[in-house]
Amino acid sequence: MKTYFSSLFIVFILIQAINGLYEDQIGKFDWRQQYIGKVSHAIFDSTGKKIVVGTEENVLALLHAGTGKIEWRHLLGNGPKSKISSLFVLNNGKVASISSSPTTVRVFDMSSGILQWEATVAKESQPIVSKWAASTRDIVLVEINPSKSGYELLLTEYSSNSGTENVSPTIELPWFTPGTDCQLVFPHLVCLHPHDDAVNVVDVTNSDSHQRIQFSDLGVAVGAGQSAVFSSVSRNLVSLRTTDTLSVYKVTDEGLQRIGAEWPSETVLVSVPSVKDAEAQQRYMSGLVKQEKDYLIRIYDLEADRMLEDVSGTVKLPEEVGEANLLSTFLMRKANGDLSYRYAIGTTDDSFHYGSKKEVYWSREESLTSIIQVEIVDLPVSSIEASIEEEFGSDQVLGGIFGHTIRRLSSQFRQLLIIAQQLMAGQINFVRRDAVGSNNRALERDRFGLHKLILIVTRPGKLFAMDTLSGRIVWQRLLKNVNTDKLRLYVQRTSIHYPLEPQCIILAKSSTSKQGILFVFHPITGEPGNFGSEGYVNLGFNVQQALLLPQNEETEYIKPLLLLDESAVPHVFPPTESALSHVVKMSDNLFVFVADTKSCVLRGYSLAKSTTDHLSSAPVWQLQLCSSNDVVEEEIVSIVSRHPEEKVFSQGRVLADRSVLYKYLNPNMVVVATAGTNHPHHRGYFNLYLIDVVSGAVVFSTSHRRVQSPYHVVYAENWIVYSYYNEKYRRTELSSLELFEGQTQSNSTAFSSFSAPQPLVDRQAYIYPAHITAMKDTFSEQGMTAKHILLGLSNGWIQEMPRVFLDPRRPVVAAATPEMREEGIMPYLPELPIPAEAIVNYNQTVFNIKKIHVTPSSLESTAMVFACGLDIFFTHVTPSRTFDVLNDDFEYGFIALVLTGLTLASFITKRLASKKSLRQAWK
Amino acid sequence: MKLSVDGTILLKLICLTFFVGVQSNDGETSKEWFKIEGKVQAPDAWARLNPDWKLHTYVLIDGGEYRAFLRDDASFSVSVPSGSYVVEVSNPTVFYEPVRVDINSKGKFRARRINHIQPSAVSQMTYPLKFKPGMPYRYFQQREQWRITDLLFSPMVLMMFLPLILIFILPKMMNDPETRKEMENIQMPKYEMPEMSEMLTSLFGGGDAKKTTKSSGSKGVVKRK
Repeated sequence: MKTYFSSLFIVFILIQAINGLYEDQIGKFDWRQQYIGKVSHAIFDSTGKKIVVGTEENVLALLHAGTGKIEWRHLLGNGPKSKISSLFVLNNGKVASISSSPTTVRVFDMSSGILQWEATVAKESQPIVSKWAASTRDIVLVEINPSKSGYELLLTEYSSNSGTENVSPTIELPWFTPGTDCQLVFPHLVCLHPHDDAVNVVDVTNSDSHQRIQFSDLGVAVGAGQSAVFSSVSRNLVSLRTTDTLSVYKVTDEGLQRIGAEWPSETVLVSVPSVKDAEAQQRYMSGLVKQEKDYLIRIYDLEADRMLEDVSGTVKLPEEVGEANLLSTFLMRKANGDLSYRYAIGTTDDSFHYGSKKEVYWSREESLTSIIQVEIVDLPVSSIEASIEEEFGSDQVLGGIFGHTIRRLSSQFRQLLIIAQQLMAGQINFVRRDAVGSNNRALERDRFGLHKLILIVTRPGKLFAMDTLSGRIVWQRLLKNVNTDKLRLYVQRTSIHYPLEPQCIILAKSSTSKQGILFVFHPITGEPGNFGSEGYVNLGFNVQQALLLPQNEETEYIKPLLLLDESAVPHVFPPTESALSHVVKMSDNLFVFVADTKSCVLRGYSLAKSTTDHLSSAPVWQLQLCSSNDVVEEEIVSIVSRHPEEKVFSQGRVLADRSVLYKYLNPNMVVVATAGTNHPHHRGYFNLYLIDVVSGAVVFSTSHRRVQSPYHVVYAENWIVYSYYNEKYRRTELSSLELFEGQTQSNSTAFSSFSAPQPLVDRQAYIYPAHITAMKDTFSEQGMTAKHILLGLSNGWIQEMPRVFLDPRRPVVAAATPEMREEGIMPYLPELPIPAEAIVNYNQTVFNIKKIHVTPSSLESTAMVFACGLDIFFTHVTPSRTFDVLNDDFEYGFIALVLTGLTLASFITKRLASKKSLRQAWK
Repeated sequence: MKLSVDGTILLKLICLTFFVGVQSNDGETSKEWFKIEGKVQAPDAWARLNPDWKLHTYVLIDGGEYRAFLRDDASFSVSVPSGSYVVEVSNPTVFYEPVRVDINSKGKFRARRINHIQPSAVSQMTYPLKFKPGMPYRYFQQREQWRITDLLFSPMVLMMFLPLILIFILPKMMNDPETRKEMENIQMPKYEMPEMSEMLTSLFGGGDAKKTTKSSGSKGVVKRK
């Protein structure tokens, strides 16, 4: 009976905790953008209306050439091991992609995107050379393997319709030496050893066709120490690029036949365009020549052996893109018989452009698939509020009643003007909530702080600002001359401090030296700040650690950035007097720690000895976490601290007996997770340390044996949740820790790391029946709203899991007491549920979720979620439901109806009553 | 009985080979690849409405470690080295139960139900895999339907109608001769009615003068009798 009640109770709690969307809320505040990744292969189809692309994110997709939209896409695998090495468009309207490890040929139908066949080339040993090509009927694989007497060539043909495999007898290659680079121009193989002065050409279908061609016969002089590289251009063309020349050869049975004159050495690429009429398929060739700032597309007629100067044209790529590194062209004959071209160009900022001689029709910003960091910033106040701010601003010239009255009148006049302007422009929206996609909204703050700007830093060094309402890119900027391996974004001044402009900085390394570079910019407009040259500030030292101070200084309202150089000398940016004095004022309580993830050494520094003349740091503590020797390999996998803006609303948990269990809220605690493998048994292990980074004390540590990556750690308030893959039981597990001070609080006013109490630690582990790719906690402005954990799953879902499910105090069913129920603690169940109603992105799956970013809005109930991976997804979550705004199904009409009804009724009855009383009086 | 014993032995064997396989993963690239094969079924009506469902259905092995795609006949195959894998079919609309597939080093396949709590429990399933569609996912909560009873019993409407009942219907009931008789029998405390009317007067002002007179009228009747 008791268990029956408890199960009933669980069901009740589950119903309470699930907090899903309604169907009519689709797209109300969420949006998704789908991407494909940096394009590495692009081929036009035979009509020129579709572009088949293969990308570095291992995506095979079909793009509509007119709009740039994705017709279909397939993620072929995760990580560099399933890289798409070749891509072919076959004559029968099919697409073949070759992925590595295990080498797999997949043939898809181009129009539907459905897989036709696939073949895995699973070999005992990796061949030395493995090249793919597409002939008219088949997909061809040429491999060179070591044999008894040297090297042999193996030719395998796969029928493009059915995938039937046909292996030809091997051919001995007596001339082959390891290190030779080969290009397959079917049926010829063009091989060149870097130290050789001659090219070997062999017909892979004919065993005695080997030719050796000297460079001098090719008309190219390759000096000693100069490099010469062949690359295949099309089915019968190869290009030879030496240090300063680029020439193209046609491969025939007779050898290499030079085609046309030399291309300018700055030619980026040469590719043969697809042409609409089939007989002219192999007739033209195109190249992209760099000309100062612009690019020139040149078309070469192979049959007439001349450059078609009238067809060639310049390409004006949009601003803020990198160098072009990929070209695919399509030639078509216009109605008047002239040739015209369409091009698809990939650039080093990972964007992909399509256009014609006239203009660029569309660009895809594929760097958004490799997001490094995200910050969601407030927009500036609206012009009406700005005028109010000005009215009460501090710099007032006129004082007294008279001055105030004038200011009030003038500001109200201005507000009236603004309202009139907005009315004219149709900007004022009388609808309660704005639908997603309304692009005409001005970039200004709204009442509930739901309209913000997402600042995005991407791997190729491109910055984006996106509107949270629509997902529109407001501005973009490519960082110049920086090493983009490590980029950090800091918000130094938010837009709250009107009329001071907001300010952000990017910390990067210089591309030429290892020294640090700062880029200062305005987050709303993207304009570079007034520092250094165009916002770039060369620091002149190598940055070891950077720390944005939590409080702003009082004159400029800027949060100073503290930079530690290699010898641990602190520097402050901006180097103003007020920032410096702010740091010195805080220096007694300023501690910095540096962690080396490879060697697992943590060092703590104190800035207590700093003066305004000389900032200095002194090492305080040092901690060696990993044990590294021959049998064990360990490194730090994650360091997590609490979000600096997170607020803790309640200091403790009220127990059923009305006593309080105080939370251990150490603001200086950091979670450091290390993972390693024990080599003799190849067993993974995972250690978690809670370290007070002021004193260097290890507050708590725990270890898990026989576990594997992926590891994810979330740390908020006084609890930590982390996930790992249990190798022994082959399942993902979520562990939860919660730290308490006990029934008494050691110091209720301030926390001191030097007299910190030892916390009581509750812990519990749960089975999670899915694969986690990202994990993040939600938080609100005041910390009153319940905490949920957002889990990005491998199938593209984002689950919102209430923290109570992971409460380490959940007792086993037998030990569950009514008191615990009163507290709201559920009995322990080992497996956590994944109800579909808890999926915040419903059927809008997000591929390969890498990161989830959460930011609170001005509404206490609502947090904003930005998830990124291959796709981008943005939504609002309300962990405790929308308790501070009316539900969107609130019936305004009904309440208005009832109110008017009541008023009317009261008037009518009043009238009736007066009539009646009059009649009564006459009686 | 014998079968189950065999099963456990096989399981141990598989565990053993699995870990051997893991060990050799890093050392050498030589691996023997095996093909997991299966077929995915879709609910007929839904598949007719969504002819491109095969495009949006993926087969994930170990959460995307390997991926497979559906062919025209909704079958799939994927090459993996020997080991134990979770094979799940991912579709944003329809749920499919994931399956664990064990492959030993000799290439023997076994499919079984996933049991996270008792990972060693074996509940065998058919191989080649057959994924039958489960319930469609219910991502959304149901909005409450608008019903007339909701309106009638809403506090606002009750607030409107109850006083009306008190004002109009109660006095009418008093006029009814039978009720009047009943009222006599009940011997209601006399002060109650005026009290009520006073309250209403204070509430509705002049409007309740009628009420007061009405009740006084009925009182008069009682007196006369």
